[in-house]
Amino acid sequence: MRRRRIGAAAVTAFAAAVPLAFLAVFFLLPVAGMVAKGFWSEGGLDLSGVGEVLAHPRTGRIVGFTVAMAAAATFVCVVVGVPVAHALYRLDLPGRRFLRALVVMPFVLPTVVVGVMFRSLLAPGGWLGWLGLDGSWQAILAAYVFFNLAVVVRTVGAAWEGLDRRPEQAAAALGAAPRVVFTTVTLPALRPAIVSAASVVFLFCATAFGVVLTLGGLRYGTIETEIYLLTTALLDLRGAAVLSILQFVAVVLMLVIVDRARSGGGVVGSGTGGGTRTLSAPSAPGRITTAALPSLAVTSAVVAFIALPVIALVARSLQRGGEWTLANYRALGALDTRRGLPTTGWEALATSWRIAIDATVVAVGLGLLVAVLVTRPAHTTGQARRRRMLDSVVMFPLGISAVTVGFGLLITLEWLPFNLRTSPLLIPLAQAMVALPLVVRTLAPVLRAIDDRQRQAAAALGASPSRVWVTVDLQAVWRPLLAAVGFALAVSLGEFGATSFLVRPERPTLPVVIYQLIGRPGADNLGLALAASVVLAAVTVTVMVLVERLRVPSVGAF
Amino acid sequence: MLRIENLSVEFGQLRAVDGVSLEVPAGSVLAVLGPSGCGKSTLLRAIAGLEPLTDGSVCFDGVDLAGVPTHRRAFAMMFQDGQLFAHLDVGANVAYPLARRGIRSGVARAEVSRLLALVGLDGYAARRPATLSGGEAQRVALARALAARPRLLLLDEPLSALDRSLRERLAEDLRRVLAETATTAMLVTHDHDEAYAVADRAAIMRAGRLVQQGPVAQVWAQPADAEVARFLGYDTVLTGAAAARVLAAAGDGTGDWVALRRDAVRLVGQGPLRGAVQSTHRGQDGLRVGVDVEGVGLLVAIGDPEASVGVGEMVALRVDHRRVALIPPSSDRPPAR
Repeated sequence: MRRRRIGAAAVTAFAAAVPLAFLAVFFLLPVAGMVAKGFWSEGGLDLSGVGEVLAHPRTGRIVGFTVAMAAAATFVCVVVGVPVAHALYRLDLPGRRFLRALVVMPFVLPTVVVGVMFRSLLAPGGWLGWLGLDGSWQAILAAYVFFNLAVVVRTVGAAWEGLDRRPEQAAAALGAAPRVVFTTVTLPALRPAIVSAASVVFLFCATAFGVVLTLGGLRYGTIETEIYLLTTALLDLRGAAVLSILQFVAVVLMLVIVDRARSGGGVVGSGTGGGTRTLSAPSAPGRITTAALPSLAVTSAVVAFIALPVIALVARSLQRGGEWTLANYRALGALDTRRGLPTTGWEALATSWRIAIDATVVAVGLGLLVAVLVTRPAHTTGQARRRRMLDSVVMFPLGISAVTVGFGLLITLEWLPFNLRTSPLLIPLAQAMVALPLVVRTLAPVLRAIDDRQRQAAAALGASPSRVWVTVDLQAVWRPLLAAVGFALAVSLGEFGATSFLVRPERPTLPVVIYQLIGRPGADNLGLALAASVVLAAVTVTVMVLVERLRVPSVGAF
Repeated sequence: MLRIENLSVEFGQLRAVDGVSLEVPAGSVLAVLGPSGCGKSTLLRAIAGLEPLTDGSVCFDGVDLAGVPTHRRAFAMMFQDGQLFAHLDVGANVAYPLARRGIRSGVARAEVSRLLALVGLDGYAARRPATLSGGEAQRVALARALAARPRLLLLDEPLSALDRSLRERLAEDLRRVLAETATTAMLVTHDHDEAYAVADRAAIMRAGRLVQQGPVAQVWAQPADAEVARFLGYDTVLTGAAAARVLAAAGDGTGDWVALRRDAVRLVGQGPLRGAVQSTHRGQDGLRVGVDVEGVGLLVAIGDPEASVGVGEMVALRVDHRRVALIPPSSDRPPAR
């Protein structure tokens, strides 16, 4: 017995070592590099940089703006997202599957594309140009909400769909009006999901990069864009490092709070593991009554809000000089040296696709490993604690900005014993880092929901551990696994933050090309950027539609 | 034969199973009985190799099973809720352990129908587990467990999730099937009726320790202490002078403590015990009368359903010695009465 446990422990330790080593090289090392840049000078510890950066009035302004915008966007996302979750997951709404897909779509739209969308809508000459919101903080806020609403809708919706209806019915039978049932029974039951989603939205908004860079211009900046600016334009690596660390500390703090909110204490014995969320069979959607009218009204507004920028983008990409034309799309295939681009749009798309596939293989492989490890039932409190720690650690990249990862990698690459700088794997690995937490979040709830006695039953009937895995785990997880593949693919295709630091100038990815194009003057360049955005959006959305057909509730839910 | 010696399992600070030793001879069925949380399921899981031992050993036919993983022990396990594989139909569920033993196609099909017939589910092979009732699911789980040709069948509360009448019927079938297949089995349950119906031997567990074991009838006739007696369905446990009076009335031996089943005391015209009626209450087994018996205290007696007695009336009682158990004086636990 003891011998077997030691053997199993060795396998577990090795399995945990692989993702941890990956995290160490592509996450901890960059962060360590950042610390060294910020606090280490002339062979000694030097904290003067911290004081300097923090004392700078601009820093205060940037941090304040970052936090205030993230808080405002989180508030709007929750207030709007909960009624939408109700309408799309609890009501027998015609076409709700399509609407669900529509609401999730922005989440996988490349940040750069979202930026381009809002600009083409709000810029002078755009459909909403008369609002005069181009380059305003309101535009950034709208883009944040556009982007992150899906997180609230998916997370709360998945929880709501799986909610046992009987307590609600019991409350109603005790004389509670629908509104009272909602506030006294439903809302408390949804609270963990709402808290979880809100924290994730806050993290995403606080570390948003591409959207702010394309929409904020020079007037507004967040910690992320400031790091980018300090690194690339002002070459103040120390200042950038201090800001990165500041953000890192804040995010780790935040994740600890989320972790506390998500689960209450470790599980010992033969339980089904950490989390508190269970995925039960969805209950039948309810009929639409007048009580549902507010939810339906909010949902209609949200659908319009999401559809408008998309339609505007597509429409404007089909125009040049006020006329309808395919010229912008034709230009995607042409190599025009005047634009200073080394590749055509299609070549950039091919580059993006190749990189995304490599990144997906890495992210899904590691993510599956991590998900299996963290959901194994723990026998001791120590084991339960270690599993929860691993679970939290792989979530770090979710909150740590891609810019930090990209920038950190850039300055620590030469520390590695192998040459990664020129390796074609560099960008895929960095993107895998970004996609890894999403893969784990898709797979872990499904694996956690498996009754461990199913595995025990199989083992007792003579199935070897690998056969047990095929019979029980794989059976439950193959759809989520496919969904995770699509999700990772979509995220990698649109990844901009880390890629923008690491990309080789002669082989840009499509998001990088789009960003370069909108930075150049001229209607031709803008038109090309619009067309490229439509193509990129079409590819990621197609992938997500396929994912959506798999009907996995944990995709995009936190 | 299964032999467990000094087996202990700890979860952190908690000693869930504490130095348990027992044997299950080949072909016999042992019921491990105990209230929930007594460690009986953990004991079962430890025997299956699903829980690491802190101390002690599990041997089968003289071979120590330390280091033998669950799937190589040939101990099939049946769970309270069946744990059928939902993605496989009934036939494929039953064939699952056959495939693990390398038996496939024709032979396996024949074996599957034989086993399904054995558990009374002829023609169920194509059904989905989701379409089965609780009792049917448990029968399939039994057929599947037997298909593994287990050296030892471990049953974890196999009937507890079912309703009463179904449980009684299935308990009988379970006993028959185990006997027909000469399966060595260990059953864990908190239901003494289930244990009595299915097992040859019983072991009583409490707070991780084994407090009594022996042939089923013997365990029932001589509970180790007052708590065991109560757990085995004895209604009343008496001690001291009260016990002596009741035993004298039953005309049956002497002892410090005595346990009475709920139908041990009967209302009669003439009897050795007398007392005043405190309450009456009509039940399915007759009139249940609470009587304050001189020198004993309150006893509940069964009377003729037609009898009419009023509160305060003096009545006579008789004690049926077959419904009374003596608790050995070595017992160190005070009676709860």
